[in-house]
Amino acid sequence: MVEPARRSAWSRFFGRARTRVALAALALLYAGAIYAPLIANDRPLRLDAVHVKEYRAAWRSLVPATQELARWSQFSLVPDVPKFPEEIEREARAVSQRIATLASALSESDRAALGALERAVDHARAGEGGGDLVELARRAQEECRPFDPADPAVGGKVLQSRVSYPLLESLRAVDVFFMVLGPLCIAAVLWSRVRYGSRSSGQPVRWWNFVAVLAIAAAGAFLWELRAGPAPAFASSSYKADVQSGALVVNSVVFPPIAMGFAETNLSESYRPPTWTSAARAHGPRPVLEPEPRSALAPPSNTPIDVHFAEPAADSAWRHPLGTDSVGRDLLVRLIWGGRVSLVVGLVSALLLTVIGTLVGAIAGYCGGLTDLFVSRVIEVVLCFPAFFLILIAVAFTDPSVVPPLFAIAAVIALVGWTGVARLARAEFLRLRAQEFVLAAKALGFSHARILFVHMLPNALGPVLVAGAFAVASGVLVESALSFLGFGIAHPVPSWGALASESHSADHWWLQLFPGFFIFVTVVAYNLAGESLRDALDPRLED
Amino acid sequence: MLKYCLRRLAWMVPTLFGITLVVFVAVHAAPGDPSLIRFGSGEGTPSSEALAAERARFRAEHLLDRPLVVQYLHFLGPFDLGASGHRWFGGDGSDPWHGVLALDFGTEFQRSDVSVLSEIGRRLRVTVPLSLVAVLVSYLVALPLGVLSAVRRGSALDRATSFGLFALYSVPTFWAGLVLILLFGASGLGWLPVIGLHDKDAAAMSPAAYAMDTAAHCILPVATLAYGGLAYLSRQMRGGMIEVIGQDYVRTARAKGLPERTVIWKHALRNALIPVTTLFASVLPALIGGSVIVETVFALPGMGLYAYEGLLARDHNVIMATTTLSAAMTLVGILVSDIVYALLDPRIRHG
Repeated sequence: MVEPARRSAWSRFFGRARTRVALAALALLYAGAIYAPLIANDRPLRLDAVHVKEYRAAWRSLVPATQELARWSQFSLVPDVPKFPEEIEREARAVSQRIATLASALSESDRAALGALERAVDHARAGEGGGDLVELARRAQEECRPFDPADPAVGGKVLQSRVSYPLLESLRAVDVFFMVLGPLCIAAVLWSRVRYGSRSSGQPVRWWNFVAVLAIAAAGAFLWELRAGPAPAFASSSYKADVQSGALVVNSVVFPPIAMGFAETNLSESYRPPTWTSAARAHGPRPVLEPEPRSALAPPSNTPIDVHFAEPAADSAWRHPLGTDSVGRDLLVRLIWGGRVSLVVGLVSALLLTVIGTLVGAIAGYCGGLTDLFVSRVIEVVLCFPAFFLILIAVAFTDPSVVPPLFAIAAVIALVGWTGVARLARAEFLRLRAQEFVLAAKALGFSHARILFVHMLPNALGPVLVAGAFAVASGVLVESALSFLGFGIAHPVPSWGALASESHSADHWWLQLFPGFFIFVTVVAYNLAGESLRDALDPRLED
Repeated sequence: MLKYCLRRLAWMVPTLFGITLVVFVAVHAAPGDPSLIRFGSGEGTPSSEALAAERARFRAEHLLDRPLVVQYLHFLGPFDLGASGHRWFGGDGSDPWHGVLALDFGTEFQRSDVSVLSEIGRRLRVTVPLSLVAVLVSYLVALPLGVLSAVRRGSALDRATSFGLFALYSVPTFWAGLVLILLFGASGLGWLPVIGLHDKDAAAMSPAAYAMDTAAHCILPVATLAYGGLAYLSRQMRGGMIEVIGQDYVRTARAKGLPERTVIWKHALRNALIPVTTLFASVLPALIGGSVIVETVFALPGMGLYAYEGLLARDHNVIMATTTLSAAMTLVGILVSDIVYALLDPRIRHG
């Protein structure tokens, strides 16, 4: 299926040094974007701790909750009165939750009273009345009193620790899909090398290979979705604060390599330059003089740095390698997470753009005549639209609750920029229409769709792919310009352009330098890849 | 030739109206109420009724509660369809003309004593000179650079220039502006001013000093505006020149014994310039539309910033005016570039 001409184009593409550099840079950026939750997060990967505060809260509210349930259940056995099944179910669920919380922190032998209470709750749920519910609850509360080191004379149970995986629980199915897809693709390539040895580059890639890889990744994501609960409500978590306040007593904890979240603020560190520069180290933490933007309260000057649990020391050179922003969020973490938005918008917009442009151009080039005239005029009209204005208007005016903003931005960029690809595709299809293989296919009576997509499209793909590569670069640039102006994804989700506009003051050079640098690297990589693709597919260079 | 021009001009008019219609619908389908942004809702405060009355008056004045068709016709003109509009449409005749066809884009929503057209005039006086200088700089630098690179193809100069231009081409505009400010502004080398167009005490300067001050303020914005076009043009020029130099007529010219200088700059360059003129089409709309990003970064009160502020304030009059102007300039630019292309290349004229 892979013709000799195309194989040599493939090797021409990969043989150049700049292609490999570009692809390596892109692989690094995409890996960072896909695995961002596992690289930088304020949730621990594995937490083995005693959830003291949770236990106490459940313990204190056990009796009141049971009293509520008893109140609703008192009429369950009385005939001819309403029975309130939904309220009973609701209260029973609340009590069961508390029982589960208490039971998870106690050893097997200490759970007897809780077990009795649970059975009584089940009776009430089944509509058999809440006879001795409150009595059992009081007994359970007495038995499950937590041991308080401040008041050892009272006695009580020593709580057990529980192992949980908060970070993994916060991953969504989409995240898992891409995390699995990456290694799967690499594994597939390696497997083909192992199986076919040096002949692997000549082996055809069957269509079902793609489908199999995607299906496995999708199955993994689906299973994950079934197993895991709903995504956490807030971007930042309270685990570190809980440890510091004593609500969690930790036995062992494993954090990701950078133990800071992208939405985790730390006002004592606002506007801190990169910690490896002499400015940060020589003068220590900057006094926080600017009032906090939202509450307009100014914290006292010379606030010492508040180092959270599991973070590098306050004077460590690697605490904030790229500095912090106005509320103390680490810039490197936000750049890694921001790549998810910028790269995805660039890619999706380029994909949409290429598909739309190729379809329109193909129809225009293939049909010719009146259709071609009409489509050419449409292309001219769309070209005349003031593109950036239209994108600004469309993005400013889409309702974020109806259309997810990521998709809105990508769709608008695609809808405004497809004309270039359409023109290219039209020229290619016009050229191919006169070729003999097309005439032969027509003579054989193939349907138009088949001729277009099976015979002509693979030959016209060259310039289209090149245009697609450049389209990703321009998509990333446009998205960053939009976020720079404030029209991108809403706070606190970062995007590279938005990060660059956090501060216009010349004192905060790191906030302006580094986000733009990441965009620059991405655009350079895509432009390099596009140029190599163009040289590889240039028909004049073919032997 | 004349028929071609007339046909293109005739096609421009419905295109322009189509564009204004699409933008109009997009603007009016927006969330966000201009009267709320202007006056606020004042909920719970004692002045909420007064504010509501103000808002109602504002909405009536700008026909915000009328059907979309009426609003579009009001925008198009030449008849004013408002309460104080043309007598034929129920107004009292005090201000009968309004709309694009009457060259009246209305008043700003935010400042009701300022007409949009006059404000656009003021902003154009900032944007047009900057863009003009930027275009001149980029063409004057890019064309010779491209020619030299093509002539000395493969040499160290060519490779260095190609690499440098490639990097320049990939730099995002806002980053270039910010980096230039960091480098040349007060916190860096301190050679150039970075904010606005004039110093604080510019009014007290002598004309010569004023001119110098304005020029100094313009250097960085012009550089930021010009570098992208420069990089792109130079690469296009280089590619075109390489293609032309390989042609037979260049070989003939050399065989005739002409000096290399004449071969390159008289014969080859003229033919290589032809595709470059098609790029001229994008110059005109950029000239008028300005660049929102450059104006945001350098705090210049230009057209780009005007459109952006109008967008933020949901100022329909401003948005429609700037978009219509920009679309008209785009169309004119395309037409001019096509005509120039046809003039330069006899094959198109007679083909």
